[in-house]
Parts: sequence; structure tokens; C-alpha cells
Amino acid sequence: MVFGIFTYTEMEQTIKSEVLKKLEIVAKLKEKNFQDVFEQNNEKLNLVSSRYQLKVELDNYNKNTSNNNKTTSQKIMNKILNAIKPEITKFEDILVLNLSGIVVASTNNTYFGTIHSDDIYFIEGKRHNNVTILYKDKNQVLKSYLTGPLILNDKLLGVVTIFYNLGDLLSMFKVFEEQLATGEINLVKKDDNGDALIINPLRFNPDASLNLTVSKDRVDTPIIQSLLKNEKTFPETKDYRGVDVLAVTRYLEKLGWGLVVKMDKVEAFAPLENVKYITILSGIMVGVAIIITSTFLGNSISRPIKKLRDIMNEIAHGKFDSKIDVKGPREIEELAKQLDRMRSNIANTNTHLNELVQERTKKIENALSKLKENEEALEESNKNLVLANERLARQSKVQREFINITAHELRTPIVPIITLTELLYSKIQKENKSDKNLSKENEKKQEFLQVILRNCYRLYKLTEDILDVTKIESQTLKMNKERVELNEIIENVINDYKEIISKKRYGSDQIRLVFEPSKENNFLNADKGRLIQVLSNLLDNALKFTKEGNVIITIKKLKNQELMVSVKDSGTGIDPEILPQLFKKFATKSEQGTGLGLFISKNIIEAHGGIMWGENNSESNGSTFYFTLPTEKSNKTIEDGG
Amino acid sequence: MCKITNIKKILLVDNEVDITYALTNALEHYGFNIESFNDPILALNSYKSNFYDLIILDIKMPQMDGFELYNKLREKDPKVKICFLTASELFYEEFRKARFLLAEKIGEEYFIQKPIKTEDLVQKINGLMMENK
Repeated sequence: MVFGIFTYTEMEQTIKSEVLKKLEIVAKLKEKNFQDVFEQNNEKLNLVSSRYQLKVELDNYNKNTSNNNKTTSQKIMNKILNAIKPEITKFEDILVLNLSGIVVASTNNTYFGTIHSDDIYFIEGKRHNNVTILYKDKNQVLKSYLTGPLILNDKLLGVVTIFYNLGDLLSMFKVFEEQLATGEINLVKKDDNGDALIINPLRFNPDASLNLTVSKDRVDTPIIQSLLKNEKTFPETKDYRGVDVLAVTRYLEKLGWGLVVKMDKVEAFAPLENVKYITILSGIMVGVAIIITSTFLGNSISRPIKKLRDIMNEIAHGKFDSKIDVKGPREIEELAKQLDRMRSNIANTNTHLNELVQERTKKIENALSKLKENEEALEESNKNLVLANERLARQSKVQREFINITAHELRTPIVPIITLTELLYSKIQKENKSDKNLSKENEKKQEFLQVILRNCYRLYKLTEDILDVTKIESQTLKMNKERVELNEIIENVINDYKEIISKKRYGSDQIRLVFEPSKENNFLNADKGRLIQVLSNLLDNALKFTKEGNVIITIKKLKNQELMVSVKDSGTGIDPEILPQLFKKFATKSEQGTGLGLFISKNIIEAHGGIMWGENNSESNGSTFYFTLPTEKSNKTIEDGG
Repeated sequence: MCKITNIKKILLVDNEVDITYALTNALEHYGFNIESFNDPILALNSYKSNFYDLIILDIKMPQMDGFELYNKLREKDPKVKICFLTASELFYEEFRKARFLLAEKIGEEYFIQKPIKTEDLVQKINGLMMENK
């Protein structure tokens, strides 16, 4: 019996301390994961809520009554938010809400103008800084808000809220849970009653997330202990299901959340359960046998019994090897045989159980070391990613710097050339106008200057085009996208060109620019300056090759909600020789262009997610160029469909 | 049209001598009174408060960059309008940087890309002077 209990307790202790040690490692890792992410994100919230300009603009927005001024403030706020966006881990969206709970700026257009005055993140965000709020979206995905007030000169202006996805962080729990049959991690917070509310979907209760609570009275459970800030190891306790478990608790100070890492006792001690009964039973039987033989039969029967007793003693000390082979009276021999059968049974079971225990312990150890490896591998790959990112960032920074310096150096000498030539030209023009006896000589001077000036502009245009090409080829062409309306942009470009035509810059003023806008507004996310560049390029080409007649610009809405813009001229058409390489660099036969315009335009359109092509008109003279642009709606259909 | 009584005074700071020379001549042709410096530190030391209607600064200057000069001039003269004239490629990035480096917020219209046609520059300058600050 002594032996049985001894072996059992010893094994139990070993398993307990091993399992708890491993659970602690997991708890420590998870605690660190969470604290890190939330600390970083809190910093980011502070970064947003302390941004002076954002608050000034929000103040302006609140105070201003003119819609124009409001839109300007809104644009600036959006820009600030979008600049901060990439820095936030697992980021989804940032909202800035005014005091009525209406979204006035956001990284996501669909939030504009929506009212959130009753939403908890608005109500909480007005009162406290860095509040973390959890919720489930309509797909039952656990998400989180960080929210806080925007205060300028002690005046509350509004609330800033950051949404982000907890999913990835929680899915890391699975790595642990999958290694064990009953391993589980509980993340809990206090609800309004002080009870513990489960945050994550649980292995044994997938719907528990933000649904299941554990009463604060159940102080014995690790969950409540964790919320009581008790960071402990529990070799034996009951969990929220009332099941016996081994558990480790942690308290996430900054979040006020509890963390429990646990495993069912049954699984941990599975091998021991068998050991317990069989060894204790066998122990008792051996003990009884010894008592019977030594008491009733006494010394008189002497040797065989003594021998038997010695062997039994050995067995009692855990030695099962020596066979019980005693010669003597029939009963004693019979007893000895029985005892030997029992001995060999115990010996076998014991060996078997030992193997089982070892196997089980090994499995647990394997599982945990695998988990640790996974964590390490993850950390390693994260590190590598960070490094690769840094390298990329450095490279692209070097490239950008090169382009920046080149741009600066090329443009700088053009400034005095253009400026002074323009000045000289206008002076001579003025002189010549007032000079009634204008000499041929002076007329020539004015002509010379005009040619110089034209070529200055050409050089300037070429510089800009080459810089664009460099950016395209080094993949550093950046689009500064904002919400724009296409009808309005085209209208403005056309008006500029109408004025240029009237000044006979294209030789003739007999060209009519016709715009056929679409009936509704067409909002899209685009770089306004770059779109104007594309339109100007297409119009410039069309006008260069059209002596008289119409140049027609149309917007059409395609079935997939994308927009198609076409520029149709009635000029000479595209040279068939050029046609196949129309969008390649320097593919021009014209003396006037740089041969880069269409290459750049096509790349700009593609950077917006559209396509561009050109063809000769089949029914009339001239050619037509087309490009498409995705709209807010077409983007939505793509998202819904896929 | 009632404010045409006095000639508008502009301070121009750019380290390129040819640029200040060209712009001074061109802008004087359009009736502005131009004072120019090629050394930002000299410009700062000889600055006269409440004297100029507009200051035009280059951004990339070896002795002191335009943003720093902006902040120092702003200390001396809280009201004067200051804009940037830059040949830098990363126009938007400069603008973004300005948000962090400048002591106050400043609109996109205060950034002018050079080279620029004199006519367009004059139009922008007039626009800035008309604007209520």
C-alpha cells in the first residue's frame, strides 16, 4: 500500500509540475502578445488624439457654417487620418466624430455622415481616454474599438475611434489548443455587474465570446481569480464548466483583462488514473497477504513462509523481478503461486503504466515544445518581415531621394531661363507695339524670343515627363487619391482648352470641343492632378492633329459600374506604323511632343485600376482614345461579388 | 480694388542667385517691390517686422531650410503671410512634412511649384495677398 501511494503521488507531482510549467510559458507568451499590441495601439490613439492640426481642423469644422470651409477641414482631417493609418496594427478604420456623434472624417468613405450618438464608443470616448471596447460584427467576428476624446484648450471637440480586428491575435490561441485534447485559453473582462465576461470564442463553447459570463461569486474558478489580479498556478481547481483542471492565470494590467491557460486534469493525469486503482488495489492485496501469512501461520511453518515474506518485502519496496517460487506445504505453495501470478501481473501492469506515463508526458512535452517552436518561428518570420520591409523602405527611399534631387537640379536652371525670357519677350512686345516705325530687326528679335520661349516650355515639359517615366519605372509613382467628381474635372480641363484654342495656340480656332457628361455625378477615388494630366495629354494630342471639326469627350457608365471616358477627334488618325506601339515610350512621329505622354497616361490610369487604349475611327476620320476608371460603386460590386 | 494705393512688398529668399535675380526682375515688372536674399540667415537677421505683404521661401537651402526659417520668421512677425516656392519633386511629401515641421497649419495654396510661368506666379501671389488670414 505504501508503495502504491508513493508511486502514485510521485508521478502525480511530476506530471503536475511539468504541465504547470508549460502552461505558464504559454500564459507568459500570450500576456506579452496582448500587452504589446494594445500598448502600441494605445500609443497610436494618443498619436491621433494629440495631433494638433487634426483638432484645429475639427474645431474649424464645428465652428464654420460655410460648406466650402467644412469640406476643406474635412479633407485635411482625412489626409491626417490616412497618413496615420498604416502605423496601426490590425487596423481597420479611424473615425473622427463631432459632439453630436456624427462622423466628420474617416479613413473609410462609407462612414461619412453616419450618426453614432448612441454607440458605446462615442459615449465612452467622450469621457475616458484609451477605452478598449469589444464588439462582434454582423459576421460574428470579434472586433475592437479604441476610443478617446479630442480636446483642444480644455474644450471637448469630439471623439476619435479606431477599429481593429482581434481575429489574428485570437487565432494564435488555436496553436496551443490544437496540441492538446482539452487545452483552452480564456480571455475575460469584468462586465457591468463585476462578473467575468468571456472575450474569445472558447474551444468548449464557441458561442461564449461576449455571451458567457462567470459569476463573480465563483472565486474558486481561475477566471475570477485572474480578474482579482491573482497571477497563480493552480495544480487543482475547477474551471467555469465545473471540470477539474490545471490552470495558470495572468492579469493584463493595462486592459484590466484576465487570462487563463488551462488543461483538463483528466487529460493530464490520464495515465495516472489507471495507475491509481491498480496499484492501490495490488498494494492492499500484497499487504493483506503479508499480514495473513505472518500472523496466522507464524514462525512455526518457518522457512517457506519466511522466504515468502522476504520476497513480499522486496515487492513492497517496488522490486517485482524475483519470481516467487517457494517449496513447502501444499497450501503455502498454492499461495505462493497465487502471489506470484499477482506479482507478475503487477509487474506487467506497472511496466505498461510506466510506459504509458512516459509516453503521455512525452506527448505533452512534444506538444508544448512544438508550440514554442511555432511561436519562435512566428517571431522569427515576423522579424524577417520587418527587416525585409525596412530594406524595401530604404531602397525606395534612396530611389525617391535620387528622383527628388534630380528633379530639383533639373528644374532649378529652368526657372531663370523661363522667367527672364518671358520678361524679355513681354518687354520687346510692348516696345514693338508702341513703335510705329517697327523695324524688321526688332520684329525678328521678337520672333527669336518666341521660339526660345516655346522651346523653354518644351524643355520644361520634357523634364516633367522624364521624371514621371523615372518614377513609373522605379515604381515610385505615387497617387494622392481623394474623393473627386469626374464631370467637374473634365469640365474644368475643357474650359482651359477652349481658352487656349481661342488664342490660336493650335494654329486654328476652328476646332469645337464638345463635352457629353453623364447625367449623374460620378464620384471616384482618384488623384485629381494626375487625372487632369491624362485628360490634358489626350486633348493636346487630339487638338494637335485636328485642324478643324469636333473633338468630342464623353463619359459612359459601363455595366460593372465603371466609367469609360473617350476622346474622339476628327484629325489625321493614328499612323498604322505607330499603332502597335502607341503606348510605348518615344512612340511619336510628331515633332512637337515628347513621345512620353501616352506612356505616362496609361500608367496613371492603370495605377487607378483602369485600362487605356486607342483606335482609328471606323466610320470617319481621326481616332478615339478610351480609358476606364473604377468608381465607388464598381469597387463595391467587386467586393460583394468576391 | 481699393487697396491698390500702396505697392506690395515681397521678401524673396532662395539660395540660387539666378533665381532671385530672375524672379525679382519679373515680379518688379508686374509692379511688386521685391527684396531678395540668397542667404536665409542674413534674411532672418535683417528682417523687418510688419513691413512685407508676402514672404516667398525656397525649401532646400544649405544654411537653413525653408521650414526652419519659416518658424523663426513667424516668431518675429506673427501676422505676415509666408509661402513656399519649391522645385522639389516630392511636392506632396514636402507638404506632409511641413505639417510636422511648421509651428502652425498652412494650406496647400501656400506651396508653389517651380518652375512656373510668371503669369501664373503673379496670379497665385495676388490670390494669397487677397486671402484673409
